[in-house]
Amino acid sequence: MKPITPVRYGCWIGACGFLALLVLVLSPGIGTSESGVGLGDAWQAWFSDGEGASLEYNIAFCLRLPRTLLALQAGITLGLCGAVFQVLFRNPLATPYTLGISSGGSLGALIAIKFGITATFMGVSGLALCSFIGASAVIGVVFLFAHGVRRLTTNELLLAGVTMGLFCSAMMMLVMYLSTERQTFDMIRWMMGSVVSVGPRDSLVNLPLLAISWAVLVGLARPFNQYILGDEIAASRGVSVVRIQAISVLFASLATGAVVATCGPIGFVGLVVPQMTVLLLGRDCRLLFPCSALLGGVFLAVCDWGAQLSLGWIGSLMGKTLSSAMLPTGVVTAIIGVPIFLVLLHRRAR
Amino acid sequence: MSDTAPPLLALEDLTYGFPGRPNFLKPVRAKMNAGEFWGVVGPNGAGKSTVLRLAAGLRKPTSGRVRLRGTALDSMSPIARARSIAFLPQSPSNDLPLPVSEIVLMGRFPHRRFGMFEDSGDRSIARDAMIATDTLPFAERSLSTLSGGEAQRVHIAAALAQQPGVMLLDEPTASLDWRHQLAIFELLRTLSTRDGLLVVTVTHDLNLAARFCTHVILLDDGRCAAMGPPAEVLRPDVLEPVYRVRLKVASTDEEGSGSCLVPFRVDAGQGDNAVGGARS
Repeated sequence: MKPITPVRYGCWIGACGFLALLVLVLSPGIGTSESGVGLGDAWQAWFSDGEGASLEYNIAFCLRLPRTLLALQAGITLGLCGAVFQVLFRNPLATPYTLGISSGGSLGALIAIKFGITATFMGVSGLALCSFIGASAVIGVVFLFAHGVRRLTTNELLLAGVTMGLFCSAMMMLVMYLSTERQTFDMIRWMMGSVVSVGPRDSLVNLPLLAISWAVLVGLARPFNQYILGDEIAASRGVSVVRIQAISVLFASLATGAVVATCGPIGFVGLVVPQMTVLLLGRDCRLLFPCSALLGGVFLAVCDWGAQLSLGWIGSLMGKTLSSAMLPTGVVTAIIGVPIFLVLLHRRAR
Repeated sequence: MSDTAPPLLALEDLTYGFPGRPNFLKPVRAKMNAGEFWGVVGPNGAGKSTVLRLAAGLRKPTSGRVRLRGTALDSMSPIARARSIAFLPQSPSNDLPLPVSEIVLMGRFPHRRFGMFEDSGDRSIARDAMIATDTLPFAERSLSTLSGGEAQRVHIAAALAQQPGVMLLDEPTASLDWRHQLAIFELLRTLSTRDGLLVVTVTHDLNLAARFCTHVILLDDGRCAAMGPPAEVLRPDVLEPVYRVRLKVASTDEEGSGSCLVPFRVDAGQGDNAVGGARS
């Protein structure tokens, strides 16, 4: 791995950014629909009628594009936060969900389903809001606990987070146990994770919070490089170790909580994409953080296309019409991601 | 040293405590100047690493203060401090899959507050540091593939790239063989005499300290038991009560190595009184 120069850096960021852009450009033409709206139809509709009246326009830019936007945001957040947590905890098994954020968010969502909270608040659904509150509560408890002991050490933080995650999982079972069959079905469907969005505006609600978190976390890349060498070396070089730990945990957790709230606990992206990026590009956080983010976004968006199209393909193989249904996105990320990851791991081991 | 210029690093009555032992470190004071090579010695748990961390500004003393060229260390920003003081902990992680050149270049961190990249100036400084430590031959290899002695030299190179006036090291020769121990101490002496750095190292090897250091601090259970040139401190009558061993002096013919100390266990029957009765 050669040291990072602005040129090398620009090449990689540019390549990853290009992929993300490509996904956005293609997205209006790809999706589950029997309408037969292709990429050409979609962009033609964009340029021919700005009013958004035609069916093609609505399918392409009110259904498909927002969905991909949501997938990109979620994937970027999970890819970035996964990379940050793996560096922060010096543990390749750390994910954005390690601190119990997804369990907290899921518990909040399950409670919302149980009590039938459907009201929307400032454009955010009650379900998403409850989920975000649940995730934030877990972060708050973990923080207070780990901070109150003496200072924030990563091991105490991990323990507190994992314990909170287990507690929330137990409470989720309690809520399910007390629910009706219909509610339980909705809960399980929610926990499979998906990037369904209601409309174009809906998909951008999270963006301010996420964008701030992205900027903060990528901005910490240089101090995080020192952090890799050890707490004491980093401190002796002028890095405030406790401060970057606290800031990164806070922003990564809030951003992850927002993703869980809108998309459900889509796992896996946060574990595998940072690992793949390390195997491809090395461990320099200046490159790892932004590239893991962009590749996470691309990966999740492509997996979501797979989720939308795969049942149609399977249906045509079987001679039946299944194309109106789609697979849960979380299932497709695992089906696509695991083989890629294992091949990369095997190549490194050789 | 003239009285007008403040010493490069001054420890002014440093004390330190932690829960369970609030008065662990009794006041330690020392004035250290550029070009000197200090050894901090003493038995396990005597407070050597504590003194080094206080001097590096990584811990706050309970009372007293550290001054860098007359400026109180706790009034400086961490970055400003890092431009003058490099610190190498006892066992830096050596299993990092990062190339050596990258690790050395990372020593430039405190000199670049803003901006993402090191420039050619940083690279040439890192290159000089690798030449000085003889690590250039494996510049592109991963740190995790190096031997202990090579990896230690890489960490020293990174500390050098930091361009500090003061280099603090915690047992840099622990777990190294004789040849590499000598290489490290020779390197540290060169850095102090030729490049004018103040080098302060914690070490358990009193014979190496006697041969290479210009000054020695002897710590005993959080107390400064003796301080001065090695010939005055590293003597059997000073060391025996501190280390609670019997010491024999063996002389060598080698020029410049002087004599060396060989420890023996105090006879069990005689107890601690046999070594001067400092403790009982």
